[in-house]
Amino acid sequence: MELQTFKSQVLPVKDKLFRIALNMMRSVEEAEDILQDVMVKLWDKRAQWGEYRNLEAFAVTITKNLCLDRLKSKRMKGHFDIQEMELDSGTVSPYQRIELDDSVKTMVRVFEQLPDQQRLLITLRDVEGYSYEEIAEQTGLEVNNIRVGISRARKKAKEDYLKIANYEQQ
Amino acid sequence: MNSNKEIEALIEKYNNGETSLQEEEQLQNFFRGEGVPDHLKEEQAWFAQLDLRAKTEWEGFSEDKLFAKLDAQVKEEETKVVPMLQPKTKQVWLYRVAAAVALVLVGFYMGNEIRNDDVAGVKEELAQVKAMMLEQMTSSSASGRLQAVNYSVELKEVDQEMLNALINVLETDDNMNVRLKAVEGLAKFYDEPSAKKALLKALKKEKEPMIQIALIDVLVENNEKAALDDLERIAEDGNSIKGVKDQAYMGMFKLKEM
Repeated sequence: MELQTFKSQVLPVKDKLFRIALNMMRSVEEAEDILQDVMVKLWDKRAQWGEYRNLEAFAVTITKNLCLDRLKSKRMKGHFDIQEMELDSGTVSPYQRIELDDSVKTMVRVFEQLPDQQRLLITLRDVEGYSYEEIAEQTGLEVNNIRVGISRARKKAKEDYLKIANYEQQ
Repeated sequence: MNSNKEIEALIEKYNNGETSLQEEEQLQNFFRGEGVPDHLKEEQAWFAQLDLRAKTEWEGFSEDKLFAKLDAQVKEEETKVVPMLQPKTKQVWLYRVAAAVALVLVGFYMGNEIRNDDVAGVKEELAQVKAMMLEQMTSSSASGRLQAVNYSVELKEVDQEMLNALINVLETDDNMNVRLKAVEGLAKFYDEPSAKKALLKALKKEKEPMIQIALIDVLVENNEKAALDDLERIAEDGNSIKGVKDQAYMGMFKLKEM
């Protein structure tokens, strides 16, 4: 019974969960690592599935939490500098490796340097297309705060982009 | 479709976090198209990288690996060892006696409560579980079938329907691991004539070394003299691999000894 539920409700959202983890962790390897944990955790908590209106929101929440925890503990260990945000050498986002227009390439970089919370919100809204209500359910934030966070992220991305573009022109 | 003014107004709204999903889709479509003015280049770059991310899929995903892992998880939970607590004082014995008395009382009470229709409910539930397992055994995913066979192996009792399903798996399943598990399952119910027959038959037909070895083990363990001819055939067969031959020799030896 549970196996069927798992197959019919969790497997179809695996790519979404992967994208969320990838945008948070910025490395395929780490995203896959997180997702293994997400799946095991979801399975572990199968007794609680009934409490959730849909498993998808629950799965997104678990993914989000694991990513934020992992990022936090990496930072505590001093794996990378918060302000400089030079990604540690072990992690190279797959988007940095493909052939892209310079402007898109810059924007990919800009996105990856947004604060964790902003990357999360942009991923949920602009990549996955969730409604504000759904995001509220997944993140536990209030709709208003979500709007503000998303607005800030969108504006910041473009500011950062222009800074880099101007700098490179000089 | 849209004038630049409209688009610019929409971008403004978007940056303020006030657009609907529909309007965001509209923007995305606009920037995917040709003829985006130069001064909107950073907007285009933004939407292009979002697009890129949205198309990404989990390429390294393997359903088999995942279910193998979950399966291992379930096993681990089942075998978890709980350390016994050492009683600190003699008073603990009092609690234990009290708990035992309470348990007996609850038992009597519950015993009176349970009526026949409860028993019927439990039976029905068991039947449902069984039906699901039987269905799962013909599932298209090997890990799914493996899991179903696994569940059946853990049963304490079987009926003919379940045995037939296991036999069917042993005879027809393409996946070696699933067949191997079926051998294990049937071995548990060796006393059932149909299980024994199926295992003997499989020894004649099976070509997969791992399964041949498992079959030999089961039959020899059960002192199955009827397997002797086939063991001899396998031991003499030039096509058998060495490990299987050795196992067959060993089996013959043991069976003759016993």
